[in-house]
Amino acid sequence: MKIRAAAILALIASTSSGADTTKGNIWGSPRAPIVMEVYSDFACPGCKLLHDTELPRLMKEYVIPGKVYLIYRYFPLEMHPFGRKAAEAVAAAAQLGKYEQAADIAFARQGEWANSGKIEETVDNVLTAAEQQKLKALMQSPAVQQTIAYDMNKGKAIPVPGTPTLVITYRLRQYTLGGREVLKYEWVKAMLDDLLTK
Amino acid sequence: MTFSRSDMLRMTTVVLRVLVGIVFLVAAYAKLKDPWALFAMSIDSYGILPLRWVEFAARTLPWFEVVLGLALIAGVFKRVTTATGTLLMLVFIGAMAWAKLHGKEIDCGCFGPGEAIGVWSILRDASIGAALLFVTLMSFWKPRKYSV
Repeated sequence: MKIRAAAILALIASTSSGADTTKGNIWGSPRAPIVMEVYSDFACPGCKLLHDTELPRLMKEYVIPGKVYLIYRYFPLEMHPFGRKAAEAVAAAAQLGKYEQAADIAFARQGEWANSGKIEETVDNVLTAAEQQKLKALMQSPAVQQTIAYDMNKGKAIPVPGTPTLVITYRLRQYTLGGREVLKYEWVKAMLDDLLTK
Repeated sequence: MTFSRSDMLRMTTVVLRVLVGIVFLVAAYAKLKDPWALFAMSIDSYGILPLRWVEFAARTLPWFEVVLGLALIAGVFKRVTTATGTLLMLVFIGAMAWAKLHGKEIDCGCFGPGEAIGVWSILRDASIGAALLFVTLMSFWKPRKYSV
């Protein structure tokens, strides 16, 4: 009984949006029946594919109609040498209110900076001159570092097997999709529809 | 109380058949407790079946495992159920070996999500397959009757 209570408390804690650490990377209504967390690495090709092709459809069909509350989480993998730096740059841009623009350009130009490491220059393209000057300092700021650490710890606790991984929470039950499986929109849609009709 | 060799074989066969039946039921429950799409994702990751067959397999296979498991435990249609189970295990082992040989780092899908294909999962399924093959052979075997 104690174990079950502890598990429920842990689940409640893990499903909380973490409003103090997330900025700009949350979409939809917090009252949506399903919470979907996307563990993503800006240097991961599968994450780019998810961001470019599946995410717009998810937004249109589930997030905007209020069925899914979507949270993008920073989960840079050690295998990508500039993944962490990219997460810092995008999280810093999020502090300036430009998460979406920064994430879009980071994924769009992944092929360029993933080798050169010039992610700051890439993100600079969506910032004003004044914002560009703040970016570097913000990347090392406690707010940005805590945001990434929070997401990483949350992902490791699940545990997230790789990126991209979708963690779907519905009625206190958690389902982990991806990591090892191929994330196809058909299955994500089937899963969400199945949950929503229960 | 002494048991003859054929009695021992018969008892071993019954124990193995019931154990494998339980394994099938556990595997089915692990899949059925989650939305079917989760299992579909595991099947699709093998890259063997076309999409519409993936959905069909994901929706029907767990129920097939339930029927097979119950039939194995009850001991009905022994030859058919044990032979079918052996063939099913051969398909599972073949798919896992194929995925492993092709370097796919995917979920096995055997007992729901979360278990990567590895030597352990292949060996486990091979053991279940070997047990079922033994039970199948025994179901066809008729012990000789000796007259004293």
